[in-house]
Amino acid sequence: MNAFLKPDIDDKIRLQLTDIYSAYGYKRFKLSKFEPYEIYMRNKHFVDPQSIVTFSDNSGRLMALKPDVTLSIVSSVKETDTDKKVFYHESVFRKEKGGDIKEISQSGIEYIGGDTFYSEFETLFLAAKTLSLLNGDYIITVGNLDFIDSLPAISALEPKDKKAAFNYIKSKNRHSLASFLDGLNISKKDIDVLINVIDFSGEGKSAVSKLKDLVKNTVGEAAIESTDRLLKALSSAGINNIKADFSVINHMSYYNGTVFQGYLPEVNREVLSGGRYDNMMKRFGKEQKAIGFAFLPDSLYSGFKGEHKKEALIIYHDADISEIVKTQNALINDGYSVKTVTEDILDDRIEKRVVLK
Amino acid sequence: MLKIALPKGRLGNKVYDIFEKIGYGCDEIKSDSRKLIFTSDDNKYCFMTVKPTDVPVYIERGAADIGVAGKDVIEESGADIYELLDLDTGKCRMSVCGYKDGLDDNGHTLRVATKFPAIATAYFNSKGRKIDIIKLNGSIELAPIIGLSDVIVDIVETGSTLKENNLCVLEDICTISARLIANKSSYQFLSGEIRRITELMEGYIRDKNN
Repeated sequence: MNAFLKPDIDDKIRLQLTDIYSAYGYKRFKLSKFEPYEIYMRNKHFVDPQSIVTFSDNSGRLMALKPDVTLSIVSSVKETDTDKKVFYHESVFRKEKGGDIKEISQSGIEYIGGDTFYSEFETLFLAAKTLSLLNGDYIITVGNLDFIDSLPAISALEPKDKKAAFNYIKSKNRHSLASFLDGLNISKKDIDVLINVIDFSGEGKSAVSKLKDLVKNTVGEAAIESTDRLLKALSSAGINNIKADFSVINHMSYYNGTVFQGYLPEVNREVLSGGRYDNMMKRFGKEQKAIGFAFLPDSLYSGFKGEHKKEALIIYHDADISEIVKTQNALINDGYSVKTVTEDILDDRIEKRVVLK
Repeated sequence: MLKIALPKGRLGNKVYDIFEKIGYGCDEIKSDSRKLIFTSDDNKYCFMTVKPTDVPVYIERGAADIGVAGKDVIEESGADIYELLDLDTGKCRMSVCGYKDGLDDNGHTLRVATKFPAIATAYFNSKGRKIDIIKLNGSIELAPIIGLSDVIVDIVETGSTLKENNLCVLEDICTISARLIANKSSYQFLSGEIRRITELMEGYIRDKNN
């Protein structure tokens, strides 16, 4: 993969995203690349400590190269920030499973104080706009943690078992989930309801409301209704690539309610991830609610073949500078990337040669 | 085109038969060719046969859309994928084995020889027991016999290898079988077809057991 091709696309996308987010009232938030490690020590479930790149500063204090943006933004929120809409374009750093340190591009928005139905609509709307910049055939899957948590098969579980159950749900592993819950003496009826929910395929706009018959509690019904309303609202705004998928799970210590992920064709993993994170705000002692998403475009470049600008070569001998510049302008206008030399270069990539005497 | 990854060997052949029975056959694969990819006549799907431990890697990276791998291989890889179905074949268990007193507290950290360090570590973590992992690639039963380790974490089928060497199953970790897995992104874009295949396989397995 050519490292120097990335910035071309990266910058263009960043500028376009900046335009979109700014148009909806979001202001650019810039962050430093590192901060004390403590904040991540206290939030081990949000970011795996083993993936954090650390170093010691001059006073021996353990510092971390930021692995994530949201935590930093949340910790900086003040009591007076009742309606703080920010977007960011940052690099974060993570250690991969094999030990390699990777620099990862991360863009996103945070709607601090977003506690209305509209704030959820806007966040998903902007997620859709973000993906459609790259490919109109994107897919966004939307789930709801409150809904899953309200189901009888889940609500009565001990935290350790809930964690295991969520892992099964996250990988759509119906069979293991069913036998796990069976082993905990959850009734077959309750297990079936859960399986039906995570097996649910968001076909058809009114399909979500059919789930209401399965669920007989107020929290669950409210959650289904809100998801249904969200999908219908997005559809009316011309956004149709959104599917309800209740197997979408984010960590419950941080997220609650609406959660979602975004996918692009030919890209092997999700490129966008977000949701409501009132729980994270509470952990940081903040009163406000919040919702947002992160967009990680780097996986777009693995296997990316790159766009080469066609290349032209001007070979000059005694020509005037003004003549050289005229020739360059003409070639640049035609979309060429121009090299100006005194001797020919043998290079397959050069499509056009102009010799100036 | 739907890309299907199959594990090389006995399991792969068994699983291919299931695909054929549900209408995803590919005659090419039966020939003794050295080809690595076999495409259906209508170009709608293709099979690739890969090393069993590589199947989750192919799936996670989207090189294949769906595939089949043993639960042992899936767990050990820690791949972020969807696990859609238990194919009820290739059944065995993952167990802690050794001499009768292998797990006793001898005052030193328990030495565990295994081909599956991730699974072994996770298991003993959940029991709150610290261990020393010795990663081996084959003939794991040898380790406790020659004193290289106290116990092993390995796949047990009939248990006859253990018996012949005076070893026994000390604790069962989990049951293993072949699973149908899918790339998360492929699942979203090919959900109709992948769900259909899952349903057909489920039906086939149910009918076979009845």
